[in-house]
Amino acid sequence: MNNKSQSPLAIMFKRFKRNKMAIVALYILGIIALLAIFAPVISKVIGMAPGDIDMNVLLEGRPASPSLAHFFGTDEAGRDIFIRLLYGARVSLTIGLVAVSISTVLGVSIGGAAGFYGGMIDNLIMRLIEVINVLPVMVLLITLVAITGPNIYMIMVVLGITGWTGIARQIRGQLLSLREQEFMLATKALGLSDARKIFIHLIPNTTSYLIVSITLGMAGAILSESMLSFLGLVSPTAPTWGNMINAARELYNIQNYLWLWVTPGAAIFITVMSFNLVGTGLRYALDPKSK
Amino acid sequence: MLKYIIRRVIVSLFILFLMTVMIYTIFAFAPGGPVGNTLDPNMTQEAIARLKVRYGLDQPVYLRYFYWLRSALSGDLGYSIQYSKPAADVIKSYMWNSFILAVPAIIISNLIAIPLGVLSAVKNNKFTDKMITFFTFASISSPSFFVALIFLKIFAMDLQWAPFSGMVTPGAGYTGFAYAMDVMRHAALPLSVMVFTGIAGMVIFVRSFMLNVLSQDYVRTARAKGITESSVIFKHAFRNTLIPIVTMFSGILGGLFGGSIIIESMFGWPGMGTISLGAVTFRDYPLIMASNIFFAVLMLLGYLISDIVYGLVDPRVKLD
Repeated sequence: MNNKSQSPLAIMFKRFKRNKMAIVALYILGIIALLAIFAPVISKVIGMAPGDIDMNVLLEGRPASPSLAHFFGTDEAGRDIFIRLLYGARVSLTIGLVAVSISTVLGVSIGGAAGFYGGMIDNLIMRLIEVINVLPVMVLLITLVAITGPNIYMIMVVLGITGWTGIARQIRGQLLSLREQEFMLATKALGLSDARKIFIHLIPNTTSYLIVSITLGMAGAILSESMLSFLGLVSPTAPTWGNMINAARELYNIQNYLWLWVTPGAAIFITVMSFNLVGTGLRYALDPKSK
Repeated sequence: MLKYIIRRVIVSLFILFLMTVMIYTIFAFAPGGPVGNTLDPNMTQEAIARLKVRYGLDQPVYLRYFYWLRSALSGDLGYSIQYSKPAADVIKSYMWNSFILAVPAIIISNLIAIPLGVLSAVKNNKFTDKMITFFTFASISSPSFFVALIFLKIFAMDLQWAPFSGMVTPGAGYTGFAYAMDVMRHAALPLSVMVFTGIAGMVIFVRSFMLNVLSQDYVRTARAKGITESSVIFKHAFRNTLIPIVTMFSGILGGLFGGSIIIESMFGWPGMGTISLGAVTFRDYPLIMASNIFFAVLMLLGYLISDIVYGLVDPRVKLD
């Protein structure tokens, strides 16, 4: 018998493995991540760069349908859709990662302060979160981007700043119960600083919750980014998936050239769905009440 | 009860005040004000300063905010550059079109979502539940604009069941019943997209709450008494989920409007979403600002109503 006790994280992953749908989603995410990371290599092997123009298509004057030469066809300018999708994955995943990192740092610090200090500070922060939660986020996002101009970095920051309240609430709730436990008495006896108590002793205990929040946050950030891209509010030259659909939104294209908008749309859907499935799978694995 | 309502209203007004401060600050620091070198490169510094005094732009931001608040309270939300009309008038003439779309969307989504959620909970972990859960995942993971494009392609272009843009057939001049039918035909597609993308949250919510109720002792007691399963579900369990459902119902009002921005503009529906996006491309700051305030008020109103309803229907809520 192995008597070694398992860490909460290990238990979580063990239970997660039983969820087949979530495992499939995790593999899909892995493949998407690999494709995104190795996009330059793949494009070299195929022999096409994202900006390369197929002169035959350009002279023809209309998008080429999917074929052996172009897996997912080309757009009107003769650019290969498959290669553009790969590079789009890089942009979309990066925007999602940076946005979620910003909101995680904000959420952990602000929620950590609220849960650790309680009282007046907690009250103030919770009211602030209430205010932010009733803000019409989509309208505000569009407004902010309209003022600052289309800019990828701006999107990351804006998505990050508006997305931290959920994480802050989670962390606060966790800390409120964690800070009453005996090991915190020990840190007090040792005379540790508040920052050390929060970041070294309390936050690591919330890791599993953070992983869930980050995964679900990625889904939300990628979805919001695709919407803003589609509205033309993210840098129009960046090959994001939303931009590709935006470029093809004329009724004639929608009617006749399915591959122009269905492929990037499916890419967004599959990516967001996978993040949601993995995140929810992890959440159930974490919940002691679920079987 | 009255005291509770008054307190909620005061809290909401305070939040609204904070929101207007935030929104105003964002606009105050937006580049390219109404007075500057962009207007006329030959303008002298003195002329600019004179104009600034004339429009009150020489005052500090917080003072300008209070001037704005004073006129906003008297119903003056600024002057829309794009429409050459007061922004409040523009909003007044377009907001009802949004309601025509949003209110049926809320009702239809709930009529579908509540039975789905209950069914999913009753059939917990069975095939039906898994199918419904998969569908809700697909629904929350679909970008609304992509769903809109798919619906456009299938139902408007291929099957030609519904028109793909606008609210009325141009030049048809319908009145009365024919007019209502025409609007309904135009609303069919945007409404379906809104229902499809907006349904998931409610299904998940009803399912998890119903699961919680079904595991309670009194449900076990009801089963032990030997009454039929359908009466356990509908008389004992489902009734207890009604309170949170009612509160959710009003809470989604604002969210639905926010989500309809893209859908409205894609189907050329002349509502708040379309004019807000139009104002953004036109850089019509007064109108963007006014529509921000409109959406914020709507959002708050939804939460306020749900709080009050919650206090009314649930005797356990402390009212003071």
